[in-house]
Amino acid sequence: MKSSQPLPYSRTSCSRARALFGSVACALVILVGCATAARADALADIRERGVWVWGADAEGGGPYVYPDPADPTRMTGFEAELATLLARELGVRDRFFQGPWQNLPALLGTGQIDAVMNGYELTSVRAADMEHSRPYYVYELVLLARRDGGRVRAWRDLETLPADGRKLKIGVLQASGAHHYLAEHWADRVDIVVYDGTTDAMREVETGKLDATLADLPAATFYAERFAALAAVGKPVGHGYYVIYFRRGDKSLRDAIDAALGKLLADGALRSLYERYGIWNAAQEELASLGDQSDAELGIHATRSHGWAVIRSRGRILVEAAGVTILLACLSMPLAIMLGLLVAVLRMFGPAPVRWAMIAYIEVLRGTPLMLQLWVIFFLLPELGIAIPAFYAAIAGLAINYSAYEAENYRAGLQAVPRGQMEAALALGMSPALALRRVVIPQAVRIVIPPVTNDFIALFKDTSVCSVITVMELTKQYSVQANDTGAVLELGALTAILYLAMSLPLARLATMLERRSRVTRRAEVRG
Amino acid sequence: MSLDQNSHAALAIDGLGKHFDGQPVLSDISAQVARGHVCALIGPSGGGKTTLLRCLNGLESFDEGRVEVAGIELSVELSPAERAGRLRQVRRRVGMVFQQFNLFPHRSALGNVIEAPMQVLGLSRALATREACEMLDRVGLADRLNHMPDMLSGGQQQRVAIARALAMKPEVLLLDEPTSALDPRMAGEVEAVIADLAASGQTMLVVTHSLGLARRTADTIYVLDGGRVLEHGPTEQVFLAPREEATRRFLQEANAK
Repeated sequence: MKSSQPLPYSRTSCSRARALFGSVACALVILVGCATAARADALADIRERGVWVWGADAEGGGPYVYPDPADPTRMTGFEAELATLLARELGVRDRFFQGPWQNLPALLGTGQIDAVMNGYELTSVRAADMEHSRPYYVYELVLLARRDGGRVRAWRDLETLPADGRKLKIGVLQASGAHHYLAEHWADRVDIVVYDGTTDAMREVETGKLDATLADLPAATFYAERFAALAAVGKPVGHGYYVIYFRRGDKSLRDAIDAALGKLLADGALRSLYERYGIWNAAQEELASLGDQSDAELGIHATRSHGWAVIRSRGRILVEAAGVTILLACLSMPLAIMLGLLVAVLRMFGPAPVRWAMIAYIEVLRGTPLMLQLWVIFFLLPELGIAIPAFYAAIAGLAINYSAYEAENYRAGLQAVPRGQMEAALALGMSPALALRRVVIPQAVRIVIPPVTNDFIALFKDTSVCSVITVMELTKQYSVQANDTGAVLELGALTAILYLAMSLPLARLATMLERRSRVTRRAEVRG
Repeated sequence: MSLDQNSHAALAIDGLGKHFDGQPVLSDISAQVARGHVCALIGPSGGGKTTLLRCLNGLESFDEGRVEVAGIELSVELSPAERAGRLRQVRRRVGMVFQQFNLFPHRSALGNVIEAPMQVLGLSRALATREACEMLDRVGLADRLNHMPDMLSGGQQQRVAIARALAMKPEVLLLDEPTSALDPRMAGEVEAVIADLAASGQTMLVVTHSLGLARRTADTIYVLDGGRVLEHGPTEQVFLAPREEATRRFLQEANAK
């Protein structure tokens, strides 16, 4: 389980789209990998190399794996230390490999890492795709709410619908055990809001956007100091196991790690490690007895939905998410166009200070990533007391970001209108503003239709970035459903088809409009 | 000559000067157009004719002297705010026809003509349309009301442009090379409209390099060369007995072309 989302680095829509198709590609690799997995013995390979490579996401991932405060170039955390102990048992060194939490299984499939160890819960879906070790930690879930003034004081508060009819909002890390727990037990009574990191959710509870968050006990313990305004509600719930995952077929490696874990449990090394991190509790007593238990005894039934079955069961959810994507694009683009036109006009015709301000507006918005802008609107404005619901923050973010591009389109369009048009309008007694509104802008709008349509297509795809602020649009929903079912390939293909189905008609429209505007312009030249 | 002495004039220019980058473009121009008269500005290319015309409705600024047009004075002493206010008044009363027509390509012929009366004068659409139809009928385009500009010939476009200017009932109509972009047949159509306007008593100032147009429509001629008025006088006098040698040379060369 990963505890926090990295600060927004410059991930553009383009790389988002790449990530989407990347995961489809990874799915292919996994499938091919499954077919040929047993061709080499992973354990022998590791011994030959002398290095065991394990994958995790260290970005804000305390207490699992995180940069050592004493030396931020090194990794520490209970999993980092466990990895070193395990590698020693194998007679090799360990090497940490940084990867995005959700995509660690895909990394495993590509062969870049030998194992995934990062608070990954034992689930039926994962057990169907990968080999897993015996449990190395028994996790429980803690409901965190504001100490003062919150609406959640006990688990039973979730059962009663508030007077205003608004469901309680509970944040969880996407695809985590907490997510599954809420979806299984509370889906019909609370709004589940999905985050890329638990600390994001904790911050949102602090600012009041969420009523509570359900977090894994180690993370809740580790971040208790940073989020002092939060308190645990009631007793921990849920109960599950963290396991280490290996490629399907890497049984010798799994057996060696299981043996090493057994030894660390028996000689007390694991317990003293956990005690140092303050995460040893009564529940861990169970660990010693879990070594010989089968999956069925652990409550795991390795099942995987495939092919049409998963498309049939999850397709409707993806189509609905595509609706959210359409809504985001269709609501934000008109705003971007209006705002962009205003900015372009002020930039070209406003007094000098206004012109400079507009140039700064355009350059800042074009020069910083959309993801960062969304982040600021959604996560930072609430600190200033301006809390905007995710969906509206997404629309505002897209509209503002694209207004900079539209402003530049309109500037080009306004400049393309012959000067004689403005002069003719002024000579008829129109004020400059009226001349702009009635004569120049209508012509500029026609000129910029093709580039604006192209931007609309780009914006359509950029809606996927909104998932970072918890909007359940198509890419996010794909990620959730693919993680839930393991049907990365089938759902990935359906997602790609849905995007194409939305953008192809737009592309055709753009071509058509472009052809039409060429005809118009030729006619103007003839005139 | 002071402006006061010419209060009967629809248009009076007094000592107008303009320079660009230190080079004089117009120097000490004085001229008058009497109400109901047609005046033509002729002269070699680059002589400042079009620039002078554009100074009269503020499409260009000037640096010396003053202009009184349709009873409103523009001068270099005005503050920017005063100037803007007066320009609005001037432009309501002074129409302009451009060499390249400058019709609004996104509006039909009728749409071009009703635009300013509705937006500037606040006429109702019905009234503006009725008047526009009369204007378009007057320039011979009653059957082209709903044509878009790109469906009209150059001559038809220029006639729509004249109707558009007339719809504001201008006291003075400024025409900048109204036939220069047209072939002879289309130029003839436009000249006929101008002649008709002259006959009806419309005050006009025409910049043209067409000596034929100047001679057939103008009452008085101003010859501009090098940013100065070379000479002026009644049309026949300037054409038949120019006072200046330079005028004679210009007329000969222009006729030879």
